[in-house]
Amino acid sequence: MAGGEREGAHGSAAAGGSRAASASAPRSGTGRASRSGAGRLILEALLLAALGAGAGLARNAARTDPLPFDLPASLLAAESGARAVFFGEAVRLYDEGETIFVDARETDAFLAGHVSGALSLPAGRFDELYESLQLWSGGQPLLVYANRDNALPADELARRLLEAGEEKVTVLASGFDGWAARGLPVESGEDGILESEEFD
Amino acid sequence: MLVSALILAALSALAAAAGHALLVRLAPRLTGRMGTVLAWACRLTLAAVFLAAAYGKLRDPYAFAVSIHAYRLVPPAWASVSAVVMPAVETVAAIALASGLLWRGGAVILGGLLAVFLVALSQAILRGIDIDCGCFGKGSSPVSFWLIARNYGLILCALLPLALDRLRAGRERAVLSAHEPLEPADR
Repeated sequence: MAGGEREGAHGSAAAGGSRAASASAPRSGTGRASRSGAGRLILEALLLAALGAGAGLARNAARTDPLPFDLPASLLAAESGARAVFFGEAVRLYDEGETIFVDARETDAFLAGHVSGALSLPAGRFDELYESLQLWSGGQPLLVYANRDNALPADELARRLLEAGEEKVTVLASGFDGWAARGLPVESGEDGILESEEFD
Repeated sequence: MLVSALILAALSALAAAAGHALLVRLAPRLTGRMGTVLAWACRLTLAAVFLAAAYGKLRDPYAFAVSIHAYRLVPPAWASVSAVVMPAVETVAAIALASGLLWRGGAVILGGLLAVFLVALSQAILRGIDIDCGCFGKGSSPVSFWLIARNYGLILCALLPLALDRLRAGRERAVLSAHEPLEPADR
């Protein structure tokens, strides 16, 4: 009887120990599961991020006008709202011949070299020369450029043109130096210089 | 600046309280169909918002690069790379979240991006940088406290499905362990 009680007590203690063991087992299992769950979350996120980054870079490379990764800060600070075009589109616009290239740099720089067929309208002389440009352009699309590392004159001119009501104004992101460095058509001289009194 | 900092702190406290109420108090009670519906509503909302945002950014990467640069947080090269990569990552994560394939990873990515946007927006407000947010590409609304509040809401939208999923997995493990056969020694 007493032995039976002892056995029973022993049995229940063993069962209690077993319950305790089985109660602690899920906790350690949950800990492992949560660790593996967090690892899986990070792995999934990294996989998706790598997939997205690859797709983004491939899509950019496949564009006719890929966004360069070495854009100068002055061009990224563009506030005119004019759309920037890069080499692919600029060359296409040039070949189509319907877009007028407008040089926003100072006259001296224009005389030394400019995109073949471009007109000179320094950003600082906008008020003086805009009417002359209108007579030349007659509402045709305008592509404004300055220099690659100093795109501010182009941005300023684009802003003034948009404010004046021109609807199709774009900015050449590479600037004149980028254009010339690629061996695209350039010329020098006075052809294309706008004069304020020319049509009076 | 002091007023802006106080408003930002108040918004953060409000978001923390809402997050605690939603994720800690309410989520454990959202069992069964209600929890599933709410999780899917959050996932689809977040996916729709990010797909719309990515569409605007993918259409004009240059405009998005200008927007990123305007925050004055990263150098120009980073702005350009981010403008190319970020909308694509958003698209992939949003599709994952809506489709169910690797959706947890999608929720983590979108939640992480929202946290980054939150930091960018907050520092712009504190530094007094008056710019468009660039959230949906060109012509987005200006940076404001409303955008901060919206961002917090979307972060909760990313966290809720993850929290519910974790709770559901925990319950399933508990049920399984409760039905484990006893050890032979106990019989």
